Amino acid sequence: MKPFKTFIVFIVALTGITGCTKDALMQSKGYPSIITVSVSDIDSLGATFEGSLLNHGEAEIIDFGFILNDGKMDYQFSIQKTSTLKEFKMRIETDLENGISYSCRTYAKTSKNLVLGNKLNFVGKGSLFPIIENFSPKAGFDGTQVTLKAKYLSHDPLKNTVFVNNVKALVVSSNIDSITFMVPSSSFVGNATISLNTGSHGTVSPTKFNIQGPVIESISATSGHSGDMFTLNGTNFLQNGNKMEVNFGGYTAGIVSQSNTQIIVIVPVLYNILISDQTLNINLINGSKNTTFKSPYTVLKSWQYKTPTPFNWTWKYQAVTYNNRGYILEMNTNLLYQYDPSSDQWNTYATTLFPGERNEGGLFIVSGDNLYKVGGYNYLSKLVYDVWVFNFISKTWTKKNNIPFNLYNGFSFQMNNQLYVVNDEGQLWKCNFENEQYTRMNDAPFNFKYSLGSTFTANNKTFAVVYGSTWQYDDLNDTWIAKAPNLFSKEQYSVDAFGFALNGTGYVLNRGTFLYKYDPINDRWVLTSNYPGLRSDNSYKIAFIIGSRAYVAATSGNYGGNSPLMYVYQE
Amino acid sequence: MRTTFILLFICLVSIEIHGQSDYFKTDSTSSIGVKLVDNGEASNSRFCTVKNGEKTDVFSPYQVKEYGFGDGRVYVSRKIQLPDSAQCVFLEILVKGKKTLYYYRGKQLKTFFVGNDSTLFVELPKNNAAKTGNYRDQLRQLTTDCPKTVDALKLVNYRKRQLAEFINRYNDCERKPFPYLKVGLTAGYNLMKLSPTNNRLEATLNKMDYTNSGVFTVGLFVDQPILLSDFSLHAELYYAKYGYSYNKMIDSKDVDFVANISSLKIPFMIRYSYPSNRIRPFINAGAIAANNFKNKILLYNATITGNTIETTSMQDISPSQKYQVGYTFGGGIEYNLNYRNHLFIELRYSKLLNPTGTEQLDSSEYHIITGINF
Repeated sequence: MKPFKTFIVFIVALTGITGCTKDALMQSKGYPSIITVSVSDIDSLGATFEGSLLNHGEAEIIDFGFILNDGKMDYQFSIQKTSTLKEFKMRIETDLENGISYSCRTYAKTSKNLVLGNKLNFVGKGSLFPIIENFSPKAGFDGTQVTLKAKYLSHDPLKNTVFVNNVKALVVSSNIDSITFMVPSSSFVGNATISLNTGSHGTVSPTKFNIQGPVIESISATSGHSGDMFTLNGTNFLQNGNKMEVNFGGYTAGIVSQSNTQIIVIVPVLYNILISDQTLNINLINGSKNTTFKSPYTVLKSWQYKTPTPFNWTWKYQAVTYNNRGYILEMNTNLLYQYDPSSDQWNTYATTLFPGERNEGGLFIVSGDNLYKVGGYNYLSKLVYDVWVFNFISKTWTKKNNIPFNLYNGFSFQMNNQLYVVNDEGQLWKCNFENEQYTRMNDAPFNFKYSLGSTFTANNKTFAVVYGSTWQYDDLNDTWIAKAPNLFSKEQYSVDAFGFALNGTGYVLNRGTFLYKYDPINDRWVLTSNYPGLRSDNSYKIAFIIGSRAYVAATSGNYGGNSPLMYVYQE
Repeated sequence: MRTTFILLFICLVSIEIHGQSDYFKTDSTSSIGVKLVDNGEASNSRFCTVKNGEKTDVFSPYQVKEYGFGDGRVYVSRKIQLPDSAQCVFLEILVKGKKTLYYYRGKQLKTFFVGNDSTLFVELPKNNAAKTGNYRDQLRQLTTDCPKTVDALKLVNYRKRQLAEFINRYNDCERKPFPYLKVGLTAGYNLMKLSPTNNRLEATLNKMDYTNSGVFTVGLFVDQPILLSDFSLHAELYYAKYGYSYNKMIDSKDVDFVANISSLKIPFMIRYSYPSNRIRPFINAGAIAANNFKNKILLYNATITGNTIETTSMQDISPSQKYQVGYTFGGGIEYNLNYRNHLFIELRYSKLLNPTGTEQLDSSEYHIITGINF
């Protein structure tokens, strides 16, 4: 029986070997081999995909899952983090529409290859509706990025759309369980409805998103003049977009500085309403949001109508101030006219006629009780060097010796009891007209023939302004320091700009209309008002200062009604 | 070979006997050419029925000494001891020679008798009255003069044909394998190769390079002798599990063929075993059927475009490979471990086809099989 038993043992062993034989596998390659096994459990809530890895291959698999295709695009469902690789399945609960034909296939990625399994076709019966679980933050502004946690989002980012109060939001990013979107710009402020769509499915969040807008809590003044600095304090001034505007009854104010809680503006010029007070609402616009302060603001008038000059010849006059009165040498009659602000009247100051030639340009300088008429050009535009002096007490004209420099146009200023004259060529002369002493200093770095050249004193410093630039004179070093640039220029068919000094700073009436004021603290020119006269761009003007007021007279012009006129400016 | 000739002879003799006439003998007369009525073994043991025209004559063993049918069956009248009494009955002569074997079939009794010409006539009951021995023990005593039948004696059953064969061998005193039913276990190693069924197959499947897959097999077999000859019906049931995996670039496609087949196979053959004693060569041939109860045969086509590999089709051939039939033949040797247990080893070839004609893969197998009976 020994052979028999041996054979039985052999049979049993062989049975074990045969029964335990492993299945043949697909041959190993440089890439994995995968198949799509089945699509099952297709119902209104989704479908179940199943795949299998036949051979791992020699490369590392960095991702795998399923690709769903609806005939238009692929939806990739990665299960690399949630499933083992050998046999893998997943329940698809999104992106399936009832009655739509789909194909499903497995995929696996290596660093070099994308491997796609066989396609299985099926007809969808639907999928789950999206559910908004939470979102954060709960409040914000236009443009705030909100991250919304949700279930059953589409794997196609383009199908996941968010609406805020039915306004479509820009989706910044989207994945299988969250969407980050940007709150769309709108004028709405308050609790807004968030809704989410995934293809044909949609849902609405039970929680509202609070959209906050700008709030003006206080203002620095309730009344003032155009050109005044004005401060608004509040919250959320800058949160709702880049657009920022503050207006007074629709008149846009220039913004000096802005922060989320404070905005400093310049009270705007009310172009059409210059000679009366106006009470206006203060509006702040940020992005699509706007708010109005609870109390209005009164813009006080800056101009008053005064008696115009009794002449309107086209001579280019110059005006001076002496003893709180204004004076103009009228070139046509050679009479000196005086303006008395108390009576608002123009009268000839003396019967003595100016004995010299009718020259234009040059300078009229008041020093003590004398008025010096210096330089200029004759009717042939030829330079003259005459110096005439008018004594306000004796009311007589006396001729002095000629000046030793050209003075087609110019301006003068006093520093440390010294009188300086800058001619249009940029030459700086220290002048003593009474003693006829003239000392040439270093030339200025600018010239201004036929154009703007003006001077003023601010903060005990002397400035000069010409087209395009502003300069400060350093008398100790006899040099000029460049200050703020400006936009002043001559425009065709407009008169040249001219300047004057008032209330410790300088003003320039650019193109005959726009009155700019120098802000010495911030070294800038600020539009502070408009000249109220008709067609002011075309009328030739001069100004004289009495106290804190500037009297601006339009002596001639090409349009009827724009001269003679005179308005007094007062802040 | 001798058995073969004997079988052929029996057939020829049978035909000849059918050509002979019925007869019966009394002590004084012999009637040849009569028409005897065969009433079955039990009645034939009690009566001899003669058809005489429209009339039927019935004779008892006391009246008729011997009768015989045209087919060669001969009954003789003998007085035997039955359980209740001693009676004269008709005994059928199964073997006539140095020892004669008689057969009696009564109403409730079936027994054999052995005798010779004059000195011996003994009953050969299945078991003796004391239950201390059986027919083999009695036969052993009766055949001690021929030791060549010892192994056959251990295998002979208490049946007419078997006992007749045994007495015949004793009378001839020859030693050769005694036919008997064998049941046992097999084990083997198969080399199976798939091949496309025909040119209706899709081109891709035809272009694969198929190779042999070697697997071990285990199973059962049964070997039933045919008419106590050297021919037998040999049937097996064995299990095998095959696996194939091929890869080839065909028409710019990366093609994979993966097959896993678990089969139960049933070869059903006629075996001829040469009647030698220790080692018996044999050959056999017949049909084979397979039930591929678990099979998965898949053909994958993948296209490679740049860095993207896309499986464009996956063809499942499995359903068409569920059942197969074919033919098988082989030969080997059988080694007698003892009078009952035999070990055989065989080389065999099988070809399995798809019966419906629409299937796609045939298979051919080379087996080396060994087996042992219980």
